[in-house]
Amino acid sequence: MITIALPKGRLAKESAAFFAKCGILNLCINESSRKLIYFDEKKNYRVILVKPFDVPTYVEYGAADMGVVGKDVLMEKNVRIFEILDLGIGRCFLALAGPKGKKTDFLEKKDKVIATKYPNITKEYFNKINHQNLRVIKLNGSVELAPLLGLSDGIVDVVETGRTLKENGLEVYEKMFDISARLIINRASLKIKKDLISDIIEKMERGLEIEHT
Amino acid sequence: MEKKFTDYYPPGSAYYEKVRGKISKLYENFGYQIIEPSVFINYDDIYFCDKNNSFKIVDYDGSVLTLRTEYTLSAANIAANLFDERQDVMKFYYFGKVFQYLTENAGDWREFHQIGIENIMKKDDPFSDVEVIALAAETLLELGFLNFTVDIGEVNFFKGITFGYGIDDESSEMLCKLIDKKDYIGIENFLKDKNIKSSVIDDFRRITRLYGKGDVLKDARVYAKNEISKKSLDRLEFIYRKLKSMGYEDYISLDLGMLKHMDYYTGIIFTGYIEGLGYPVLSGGRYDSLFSRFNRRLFAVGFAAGLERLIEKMPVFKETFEVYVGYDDEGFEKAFEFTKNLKGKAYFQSFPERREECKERAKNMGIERVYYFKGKDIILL
Repeated sequence: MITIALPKGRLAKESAAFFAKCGILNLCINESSRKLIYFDEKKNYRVILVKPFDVPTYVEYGAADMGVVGKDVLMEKNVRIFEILDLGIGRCFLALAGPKGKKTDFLEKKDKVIATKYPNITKEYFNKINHQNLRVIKLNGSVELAPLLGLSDGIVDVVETGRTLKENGLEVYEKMFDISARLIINRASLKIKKDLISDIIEKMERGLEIEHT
Repeated sequence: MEKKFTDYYPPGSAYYEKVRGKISKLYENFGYQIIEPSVFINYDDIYFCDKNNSFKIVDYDGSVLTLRTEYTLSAANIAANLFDERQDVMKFYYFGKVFQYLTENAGDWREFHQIGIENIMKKDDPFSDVEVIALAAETLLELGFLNFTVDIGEVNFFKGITFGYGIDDESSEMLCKLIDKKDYIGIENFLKDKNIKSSVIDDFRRITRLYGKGDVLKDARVYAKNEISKKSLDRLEFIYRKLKSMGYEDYISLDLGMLKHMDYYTGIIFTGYIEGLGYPVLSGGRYDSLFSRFNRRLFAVGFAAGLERLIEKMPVFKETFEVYVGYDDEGFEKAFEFTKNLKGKAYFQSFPERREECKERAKNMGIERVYYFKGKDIILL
């Protein structure tokens, strides 16, 4: 049996739809349900729903053989897994953002404070552009609130449509990285369950090719 | 209270002794001798990658020491000191604790047992690669595992390719990390930025898929365009064929995209995985360049396995007492004398008891053979 970890929320539904389209498994994930484990009819697959940031952990230690997770999470958590495919779903980007019209003030400010769910990515990014005196505040969600309440000067967060930013009086200062969902695989599983997993990868690759044409 | 340290107690503690017995016999059969290097190492000497998670101690004179994080460095040091010109080979094995902080995610370990072997020779010979990989597989078999794979790669295959395409050291280091993760997209993005031809990018991307059984070697030939890569494939093929003819085909696999510690390993590398455990249990390879730090020209291949991970998944050994020895107030001396001469494991009661109590306790412990010493009389209950 192959265990697949999916991130709770919209990406879980999108991933399930993609798995179905590739002819791997048909699964109906009910968002209002509290169920965390799903099986397919033939019991070849077990799908678990976990927090996005826990997907790499489940896969790294082999509790799940494979998983689907955003590149943002993989960049933040440096895990030893195989990152096999770009599924092209869950597209968004990581951005540096802050109060509308304050970009110059922000850039000129020497000791910036940034609130984010991604402290590692943020530190690394500012390290690369040689910015010193950066303070990072780690939040677990609703990061947009931080600059409004004076907790930080700016934020680093994923942006999909930009609506949340706009509705809270924020704007993108800089686009940092493009993000999309990746298929990740446990190192041992790829070797021990090679035939089963190669079959899934091939089906997904074919599915992706059809999508491109 | 949070438990920071690991205590070993029955029945688990007995497993380690069982394992010690089994693997010592295996390694000693093949001429490996046990070493017990110092638990201290100069902080300056340990590998760069181990520095962060090692435990530092200030010596009496103010210099900084660390607890050993692994055995290979010490084994190499011992060999470099002892090896004399008349000798062909030095074979060491070890069994003991290493000290390293493994993160919260990995279970918050500070100490764990390692077993392993090091085969150190005056010349480079692929037969020693075969011997060591076969012993890696035998180690897992000896511990009762049947569903596992020792995954084998060769670092020079990749080194030859990057050399052939004229890729600089810094880029090839980054590329290593991406290929080791089989990060298709990362490889493409990284090389595109470097203005590398798309045909070359495709080659690197395809290397990530060079894993599986023997046919991988055939597929890999296409990418081996210079002597370094070709030779590495020849050697890997030799090793694979030998292992196959020895009957290990089910227990080995190949992955030419496995690229770990490229600055350390100089030839074959391998990693052991067992079913039901998501992370490697065994890791090894050829590390000839290590001896240059001791100003010696020696060639070595070896591996180490973490025992905690293995024992977690090991088929359980049955640890029971064969005999129960009880006695009354007057029977102690006789009972003690009797137990001293017993073969097999006995449970010796530490206080006098009545006959019925003795019978009851033995029954509760699941021990069938019960001797009861009533004064000078011995009764088999």
